[in-house]
Amino acid sequence: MSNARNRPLIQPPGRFDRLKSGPARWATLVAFASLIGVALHLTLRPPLIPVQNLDHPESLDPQVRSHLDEILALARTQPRDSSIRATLGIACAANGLWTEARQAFLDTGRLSPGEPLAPLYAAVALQELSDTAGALKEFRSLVARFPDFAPGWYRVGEASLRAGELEAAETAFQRLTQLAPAEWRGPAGLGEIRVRQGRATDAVPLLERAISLDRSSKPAQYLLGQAYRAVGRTNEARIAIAAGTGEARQPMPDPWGDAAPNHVRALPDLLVQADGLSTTGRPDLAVQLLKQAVPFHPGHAGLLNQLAVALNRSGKAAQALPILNRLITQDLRAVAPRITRVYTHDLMGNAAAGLQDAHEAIQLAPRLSQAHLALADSLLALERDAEAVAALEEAAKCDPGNAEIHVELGEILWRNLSNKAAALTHLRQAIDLNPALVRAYGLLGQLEMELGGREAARQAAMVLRQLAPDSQDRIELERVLARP
Amino acid sequence: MKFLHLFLLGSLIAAGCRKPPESTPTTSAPGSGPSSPLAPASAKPAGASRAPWFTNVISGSGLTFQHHSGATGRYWLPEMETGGVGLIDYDGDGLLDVFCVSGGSLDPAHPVAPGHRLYRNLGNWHFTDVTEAAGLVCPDGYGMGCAVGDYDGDGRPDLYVTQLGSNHLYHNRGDGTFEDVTQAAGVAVHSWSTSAAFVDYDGDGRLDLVVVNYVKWSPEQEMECFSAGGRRDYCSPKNYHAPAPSTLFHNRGNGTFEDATAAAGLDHAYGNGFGIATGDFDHDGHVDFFIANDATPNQLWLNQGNGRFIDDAPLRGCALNSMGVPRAGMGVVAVDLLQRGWMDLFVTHLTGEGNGLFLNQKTAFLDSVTPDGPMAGSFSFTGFGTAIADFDNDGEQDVYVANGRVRLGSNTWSPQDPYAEPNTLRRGLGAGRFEAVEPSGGTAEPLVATSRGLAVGDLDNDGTLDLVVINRDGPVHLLRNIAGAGHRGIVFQLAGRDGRDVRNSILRFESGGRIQWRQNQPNQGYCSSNDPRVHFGLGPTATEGHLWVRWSDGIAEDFGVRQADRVHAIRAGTGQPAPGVFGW
Repeated sequence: MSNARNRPLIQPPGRFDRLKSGPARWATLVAFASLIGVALHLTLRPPLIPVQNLDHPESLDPQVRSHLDEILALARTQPRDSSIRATLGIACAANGLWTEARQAFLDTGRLSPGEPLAPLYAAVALQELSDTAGALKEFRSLVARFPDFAPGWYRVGEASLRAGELEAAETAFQRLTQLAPAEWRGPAGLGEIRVRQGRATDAVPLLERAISLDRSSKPAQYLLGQAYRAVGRTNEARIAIAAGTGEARQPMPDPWGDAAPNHVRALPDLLVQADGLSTTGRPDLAVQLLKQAVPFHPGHAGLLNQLAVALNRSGKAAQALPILNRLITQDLRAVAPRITRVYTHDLMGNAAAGLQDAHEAIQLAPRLSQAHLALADSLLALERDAEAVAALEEAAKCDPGNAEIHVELGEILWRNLSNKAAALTHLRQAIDLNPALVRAYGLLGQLEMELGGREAARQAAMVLRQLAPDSQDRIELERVLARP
Repeated sequence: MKFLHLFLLGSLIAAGCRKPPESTPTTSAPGSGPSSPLAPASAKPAGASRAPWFTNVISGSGLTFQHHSGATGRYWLPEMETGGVGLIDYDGDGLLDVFCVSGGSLDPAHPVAPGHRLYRNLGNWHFTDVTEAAGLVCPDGYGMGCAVGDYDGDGRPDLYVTQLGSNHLYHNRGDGTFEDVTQAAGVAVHSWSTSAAFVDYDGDGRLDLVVVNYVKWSPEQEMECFSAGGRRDYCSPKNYHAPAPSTLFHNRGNGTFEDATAAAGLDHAYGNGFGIATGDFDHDGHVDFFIANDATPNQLWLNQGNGRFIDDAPLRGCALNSMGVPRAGMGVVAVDLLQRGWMDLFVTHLTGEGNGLFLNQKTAFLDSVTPDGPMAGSFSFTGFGTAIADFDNDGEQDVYVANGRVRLGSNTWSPQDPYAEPNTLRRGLGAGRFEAVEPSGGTAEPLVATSRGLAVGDLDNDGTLDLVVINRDGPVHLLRNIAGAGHRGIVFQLAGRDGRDVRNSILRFESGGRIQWRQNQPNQGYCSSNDPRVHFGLGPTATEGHLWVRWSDGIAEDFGVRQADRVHAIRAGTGQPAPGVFGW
């Protein structure tokens, strides 16, 4: 200690003099620059933020836990990597673990302060945890920091609307429209404000603009329907409302949101995801997804049945059959696998076996429309069309609100049984039940043409132009209408 | 080979001592029936900041009901939805008695009686269990709720109990006992019924019956569901894909009913039905029905006046939220929130959705969200039973919501019950504005439970409205109102020309320069039945008010000025004609 105290505070001048010339000068400068570089690196590199732990991991779905464990392990090896921490947040969010997701997004924001998606998703997590006021505050803070960040303004607009703060919402959606003129959510948000203000006339052009930007924007369709109704355009209102029903407003897309579906591992969500894939023409992907889940839930009857459904849809009915046989052997009163097996048999060319399963399913669950629909499927496969119609009528009695059954009835009565009058009744009933059912208009229009009802067919085509201008049903009907 | 185009499979799988006489009949105005004074309310300075509005007086009251859901860890859906309550003066002594609906057992191998209980109100907040003596031991089924109404017009309230399994209609014999007339009357619905309402939809003077059904459920349809992160939990009704249509029973007038569902068109649209509110929503002189559905679009059945109904909810904007998405409708009340003679709809919803107000704009409804509306602050809770009433007698209606989750949340209010939440109370400020009452729910300490049905009524006849709240697998909350003291209240008991139970009449009450509107329809909320009498708060200074009534047959009458702090009996045909008063 005493030595240190006695050390001179200023270096003697002679040592600095040596740096003024020669190779030593360059070596020292390089060393000095390196020191500065290291210092800068230490100062500017992301801080070391410990990786969070999961609460009660033992209670999690095993597949969710496995997936999160992998990401957590990676994050622990690279605790300064903001992208891995963001992935952790996205994975937690995709499986509904919003408390954990929020922590991960907050950590991401500390690791990468220039990334606006981190505070955006931290606020989204807060919103999902029902702290809507807190979330709105954070969204506002986000756009103050990142004034040109369009998704931030979208969130401010939406959250303000849901809190009934119309003025704030107006400002946000105006700004969104400036920043992202091709984004339908801007005019749609402004349109919703006008509807709430009772200014339906002003809402109509805004909402029509939103739909012109994205025809698949269901919330805008629904709002336009409400606006049409308010201005007295009732028929158009009915169609727009029906077309816009049932889909939650999807948030403005961004890379993190786009990545979320890849991290879904909770079984019920996987089942929904798989169903969506196979009904939209991607059953192979559904099969892949469900097969990955089976080792985590080996005895789950719902999962296995869903897998069989996906296999049927992907043309692999033979693989579905042993799964269904096992399920039915395990529970002789199980209705769902029996119904699935009807379709499996039909697809494998064994409609007689399908017919037997369908009758047994109806015995087990006589009020279940799906059992009667399965019976109809087998009967159709056996070309017993009149009996299939009777089965479909039973299905319609069990599920009188189901418009699609009437479309099936209409088509079979028309195409297979040449009962055009009855077909017409069912197609009209389908439209009455669901004024947005594209296929019903297509069939109705064509049938009307056959019956000489050109004007009625033209009206159906007009509805299709509003409802689904790019649909095959409209194109086909217009083609038929073009004939002399 | 031909196949159906339908894709339908994925969904299937986932696969009651004597009560003291409390009335002194007097006649107070032309065309009136008798009126009786109200007992003085207990003291509490109204509107005092953070002062409690209610006291839970269950302890020592004799109302010993314990709800049983029958939960055994299998997470069967009905366990999460059971529990309603009905207020019924079954013995005609002027004091409301309490009928509590329990669940029971869902296990077909171990059936037990559901355990509903009737408690006779002895006055002074004492009750005694008279279930057996009254003949109300329900033998079968799994209990959901109840509706009270005098279906046979004998002047005595009868009781309809909704269940999973068979519903039961109990006819009040008038001697303190009931008779199960379900089969003879033809009102056994073998479904999963939730709320029900007695209503005269065809204007023949007899009460018909609407029964709301939820899901076509059986144990075989149960499946494993999980909450966030994959924790085992109750399923959503959406998982079952089996919504059930409501049932409409037309009263033939001879003690029997006929199923008029199909004839009325009520089978054309349906969802997972939970709540019902009735009223003439479009002012065409016919009573309409609003059905609140869980996770499926609501129905607004507009009465065409010819026995037929048309669902106009999509076009009138009350089927879905403003984004076109169905919410989880639980309880619903029809109430004139802005006090202008048009019935609005307040619907309770799931956490994250917020409770909803469909504001009646005459030709349509607006899904109204305002920062200080009745829905504000509800995003964190799952609402079930609800009542909009003037609890503090200040002339403005307040909002009480019974909350309780249906799925696990990220935080817990009670270490014993992960589904428990505090109930909430918002004080009406007028013009559709409200403020939160603290502590939550208006009691000195928040009452945390998984609450379901609630019934509102003046249990001690003091001119203030009390509450009974049913809690899943717990005791009831018996909430005595202490907020209304210092302000005056007035109560009307309506009857038809022949003394029959009448419903859906509109009351216009003018006091101190303020006009208030009410409808008499006790069967609303969630699986519950309220005080059939109509209550108004008058504030601190007014001592009387002027009453007009528009009966459900469209006839309007003036019943003159009525004194506060009384129960007034109002009988149709005894007022002065008042054409034009209800000219909206």
